[in-house]
Amino acid sequence: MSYILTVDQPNLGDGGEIFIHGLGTFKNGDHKITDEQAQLFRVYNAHTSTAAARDSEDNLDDPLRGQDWVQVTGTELGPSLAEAAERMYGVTVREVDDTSDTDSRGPVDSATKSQATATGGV
Amino acid sequence: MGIGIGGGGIIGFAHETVNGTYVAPTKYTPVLTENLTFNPGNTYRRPIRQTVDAIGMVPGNVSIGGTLSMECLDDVIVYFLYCMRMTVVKSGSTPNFTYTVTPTAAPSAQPTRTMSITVVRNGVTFGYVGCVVSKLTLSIQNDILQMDCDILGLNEASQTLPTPTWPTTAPYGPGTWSIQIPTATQVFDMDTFSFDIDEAGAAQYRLKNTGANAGRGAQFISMGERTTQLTASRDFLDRTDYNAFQAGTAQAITIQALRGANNGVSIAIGQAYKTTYDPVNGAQGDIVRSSITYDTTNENAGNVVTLTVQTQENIS
Repeated sequence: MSYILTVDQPNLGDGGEIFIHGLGTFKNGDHKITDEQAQLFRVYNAHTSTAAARDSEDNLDDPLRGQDWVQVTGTELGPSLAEAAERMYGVTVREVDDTSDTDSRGPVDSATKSQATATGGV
Repeated sequence: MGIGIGGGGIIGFAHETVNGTYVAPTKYTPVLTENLTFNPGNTYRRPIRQTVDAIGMVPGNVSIGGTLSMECLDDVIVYFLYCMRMTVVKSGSTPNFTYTVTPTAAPSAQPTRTMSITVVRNGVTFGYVGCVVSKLTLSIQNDILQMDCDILGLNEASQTLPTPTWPTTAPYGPGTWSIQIPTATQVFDMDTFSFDIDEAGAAQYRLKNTGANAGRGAQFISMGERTTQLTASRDFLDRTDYNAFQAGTAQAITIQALRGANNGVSIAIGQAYKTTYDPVNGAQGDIVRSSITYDTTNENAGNVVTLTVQTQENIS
């Protein structure tokens, strides 16, 4: 499964670019996003959370639970690309079948490419 | 959320259609510092009543204030100039636009537009509404053109967490400057400056019981007497400029940060009088320099200052 990310920000003008943290740099228009890029986007936008630690199957915080002097935090993945796009100005995302014929561009080449690995956090 | 740090913060903004009605961000900008705060204006009661303690609290007039400090990006500054007491004239066509910004000539109390500023701190969204720029400072900090916007607003409320789309424009630094004193005569003796336009903004409260926060917010933000000033640090070379200082001779000054033919921020001051000019001998090895303060008038110039921003940003 992959995605088409459409940027339509009238203020950008021709040649203007936006940078989406964890995804890349884009001009107005359609851009193809692979499933791996979409997963890396969630990793890049992950955040720490005490709730995540409590819900963790590792139960790492069990021995420490109730101790006032310690806080155990876990990591929650960020929103999916579709969820995030709902809160982005001028950006929409739709899923496409990987077998569909599309000539949409990927992210614009930028010095700020994603570097995160796909391995999970604590 | 766990404990957060400032690096995860987000600043976004959008011009409002109705003053004080929240609009989700349409533009985002990296900032250096922000300190927008909600001030409840509480009144603590201290009548004489057999006690030396405050006996209660009455919620007061709410105000929003603070400063956003950021690198001056040509696609960002115009949004804030619209929220000052300025006339903004847009010219050009896609992809290159020029925004010519001049202080409103008429003694108006109101800025052109207002904006909603969205601040995300540790994943928590703060939506400030009815925001205007009371004072704008353009200066060189760490070799980069920096802008500081003193913000006044009407109110604040929680809003939906946005996902930002960041600009990719670059700030202005070494190699982009053109300093002209007087205008059209480039000089190479200045290493730093600070230019500010102070509109003397103030929150205006009226007696009411409607609106956000149970009617405790400001009814509007007014602007007062405008002060436009430039301070600069220059090498002291000869008495020519110093004699003009003593004689009270005005000068036109232009400061430009330019990148190619289509991007730049220019400050053109029509009538600048030197208020202070103090060349001194420092230590043995110190270059003889002077800190100079220029105050401005609009006599013979029409506008006390003209700001020109060249950018590809298309603001409607």
